[in-house]
Amino acid sequence: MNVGLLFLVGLLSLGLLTGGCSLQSNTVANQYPTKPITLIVPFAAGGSVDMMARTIEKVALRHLGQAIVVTNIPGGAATIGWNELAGAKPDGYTIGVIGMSSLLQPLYGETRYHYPTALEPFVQVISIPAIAVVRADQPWKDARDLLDYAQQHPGEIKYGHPGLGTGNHVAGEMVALSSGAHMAQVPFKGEADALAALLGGHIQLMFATPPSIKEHLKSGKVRVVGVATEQRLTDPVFSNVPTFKEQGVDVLLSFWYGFGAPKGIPEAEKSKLIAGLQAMVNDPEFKTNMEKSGMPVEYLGAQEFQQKWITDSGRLAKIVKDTGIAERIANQKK
Amino acid sequence: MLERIATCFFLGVSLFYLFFAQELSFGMIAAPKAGFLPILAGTAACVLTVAVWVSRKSKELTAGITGIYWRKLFFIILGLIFYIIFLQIVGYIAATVMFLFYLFKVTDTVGWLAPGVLSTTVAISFFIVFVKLLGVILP
Amino acid sequence: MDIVDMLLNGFYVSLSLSNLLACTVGVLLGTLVGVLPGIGPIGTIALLLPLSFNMNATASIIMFAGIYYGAMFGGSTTSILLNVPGEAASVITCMDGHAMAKKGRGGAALAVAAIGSFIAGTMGLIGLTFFAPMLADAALIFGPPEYFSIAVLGLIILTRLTGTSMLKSSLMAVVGIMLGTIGLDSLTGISRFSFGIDALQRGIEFSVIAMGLFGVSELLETMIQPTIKQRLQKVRFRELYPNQEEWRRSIAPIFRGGMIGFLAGLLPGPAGIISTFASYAVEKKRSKNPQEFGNGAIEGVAGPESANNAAASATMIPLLSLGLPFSAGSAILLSGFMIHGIVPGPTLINQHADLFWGLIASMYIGNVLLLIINLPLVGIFASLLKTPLNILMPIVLVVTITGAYSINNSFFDLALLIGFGILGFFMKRTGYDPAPLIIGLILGPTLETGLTQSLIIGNGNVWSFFTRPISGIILGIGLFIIIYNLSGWGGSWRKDSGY
Repeated sequence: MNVGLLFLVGLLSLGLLTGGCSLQSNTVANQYPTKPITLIVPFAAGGSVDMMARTIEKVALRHLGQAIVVTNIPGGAATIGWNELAGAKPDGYTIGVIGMSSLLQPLYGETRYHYPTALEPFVQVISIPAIAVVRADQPWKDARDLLDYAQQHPGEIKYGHPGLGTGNHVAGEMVALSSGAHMAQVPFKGEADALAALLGGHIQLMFATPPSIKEHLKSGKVRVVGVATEQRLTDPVFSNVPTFKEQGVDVLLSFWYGFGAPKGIPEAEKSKLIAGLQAMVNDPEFKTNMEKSGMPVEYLGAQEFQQKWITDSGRLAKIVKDTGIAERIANQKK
Repeated sequence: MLERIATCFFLGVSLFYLFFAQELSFGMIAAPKAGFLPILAGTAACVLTVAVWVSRKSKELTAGITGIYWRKLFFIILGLIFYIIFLQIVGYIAATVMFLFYLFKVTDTVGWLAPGVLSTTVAISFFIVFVKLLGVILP
Repeated sequence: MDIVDMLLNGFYVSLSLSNLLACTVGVLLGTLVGVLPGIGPIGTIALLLPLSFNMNATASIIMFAGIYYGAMFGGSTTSILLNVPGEAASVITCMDGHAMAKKGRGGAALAVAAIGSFIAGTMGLIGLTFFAPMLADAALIFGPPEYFSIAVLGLIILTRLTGTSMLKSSLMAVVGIMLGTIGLDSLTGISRFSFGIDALQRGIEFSVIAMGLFGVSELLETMIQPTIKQRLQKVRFRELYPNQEEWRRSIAPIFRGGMIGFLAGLLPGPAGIISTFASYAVEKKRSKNPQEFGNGAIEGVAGPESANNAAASATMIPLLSLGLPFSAGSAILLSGFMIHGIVPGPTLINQHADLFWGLIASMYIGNVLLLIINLPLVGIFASLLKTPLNILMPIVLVVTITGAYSINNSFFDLALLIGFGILGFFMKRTGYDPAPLIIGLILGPTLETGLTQSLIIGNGNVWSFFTRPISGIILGIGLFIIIYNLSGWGGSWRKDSGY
């Protein structure tokens, strides 16, 4: 009996020792970073955003001296991951992927943190415009045709999107509002499902992003009737897609993603981190890999990114109110 | 007897669910909202539990409570709870070794040394397989 | 024939050393991952994605695909031997597979599962090779109303699978649906029933519930027996493999399972899981002694295991020909493609013929490799059963918990695992069968999504479900089954109450 007790006590102390030893003290700023940095990706593994993170993983080592480790924390329309990020210790060892939807989510309901103020953006990596897509055999040549039809037949046009409150949904409502057409929105669980429904003829229209439908456009199955940018896209496949602005519908919306961290990281570490991230994003290997994945890099440095963060926050708040999206979501609860 | 308790349990769950479900708005047929299916499902569940309660078929007992060694069950569950707590405090290997050892004793393994060694080897080998080979993050 | 030519070319490509190596690594890793409960092919592939940057495109995709269907092979092992589903699609195999193991026929079950998986996987591949584009287009015709109808039909049929009382099974299914609504609903943008707990916002992870309800509850049941030190029967080597009668009974289910799995895999949603349930239901209906199901009927292993391998091949079809991932597994394979700048879709076959046919050829090869690897392992695994239960059970419990944690790195999941394990324990003893709950959990979201979308598209016209031909037929079958059962039930009720 005594031997057993001793054994158990030994085990227990061993456990405590190993647990205790993992607490490292990291104080000296000029040696930062001294251990790998965690990159929180609030999306499921395998998505395009996740790809962006893993592509950075590859080039991180040579720019910061330490590896970047991707952790996926999906769910809750990315809010779970962002909650984790905003609540992490601001010591420079936890960063995360942030994007336009980080600004959108708090507008809908209570998220644990107010991301626009709790998170600090560092660099932008990609910016993908919203586009409107119809099946190729539909009679509408461009957005103008489609919207005219919708105005004459209110409620008949159904457009699909990956969920209430997503960027695609916002794009759709913006177009509807600005053109005065009344279109019904059909929610799906993800872009792939919406695309399947479009191809099958169950919905007439959908709002998406270039990477996801490029192949279908090339093979002639779909037609893009409008893109929500200032200028037409440079990609040859999309070069003859008119912008919404050209067609009299003033809608500009792009989904951008970049890296950020919780506010409050000490200056020394922060500048090193930002410098390292900037170098990584501009690294030629990173750029080539991103191109290969269909997401060309649109770099914005810390200053400009922060500016965009703030202006878009205000812009989106107004849009969400005007289009009634916020209200619609709030109405889901009595 | 146990069966009646189980049925009551499900009735309780259904009512609980239904209570929260009806806080969500129902919507119209043309535009169903968040509460649509939950309210339907919660109602169906309540109806079914009542039906089960009333049904004569509940007289056909299944294995029931005969043969439950409550004491052992209690200890195992207690051990499980502690295991989860320990996982957070001392990390995977230590907690698993302790837990395995505890379980071996609960299931009446004789001796001290053999279970101890076995616990340790198993815990470490799992750690290696999961973490090194498969890259899973364990506490 | 054109296609055969290209296929042969594909074989040539896939037999190159690097590709062959990639295939082997993939299937080995897949088997390992499938055997271990919790961690599944999706997580593993995600982890390996960065590695594939350096590999050549064909090799890396071959490897990923190998992991994916290798896991289908491996998942049956723990289900049969330990009643712990190795991964989601193996839940059904637990039911009859483990029962067979308890009777000492574990080796036979494993062997049948392996061979069935091979045959069905190959069948699925043949379908993929020759019919891919046509099938993909056909799959598109299925829209929200059809998905809703399928979910309804699935719930009706599958709820009758097991359990003593139809009322209780239906209740379990509804509870499952209720559980499925927990979490952030992407359709409506709000989170339901999460009570402010972050972990609930994500929704309840299906694998955790399955492992708890089936695995942990069975473990608890075994561990509290006083006679626990008893070993399972010793098995002679010859008895390890199926005898003639078992072969005879398995052949037809394998082919039926293959067909069902293939068709199910084309549709969106958790194809693998649904295909196993459907195959089980079909086998039970066709069997001459349905009571044996749940107690070790070999058809209940042969059918479902074949189904899930065929489904794995079939999910590749929408992915490869349309570029649309219909399930989480194919979604991650899509990323594997995109890393190399290849976007699968209508143009894939033409532009990257080598890759496409090389991939398909390697899947045939992979299937063969898996068979070669798995069969001898049957002997080894079956001998694991000789371990005294009092040592085996705690180890299995730890593996289950570890595996469950590895899915989401969440302690809440562990609490769920244990909670549902305890619940399952009491449920089994009071006549509530856990299977319909799982079915409700899986089909619930599909049901709701289909319903909501269809009502919006149809402008609130409930009859739109019946006026569309496919949906109408499916719902008609469902209605017929309900009426049929009600009349039978009404009859026996009258008998009971002494009319």
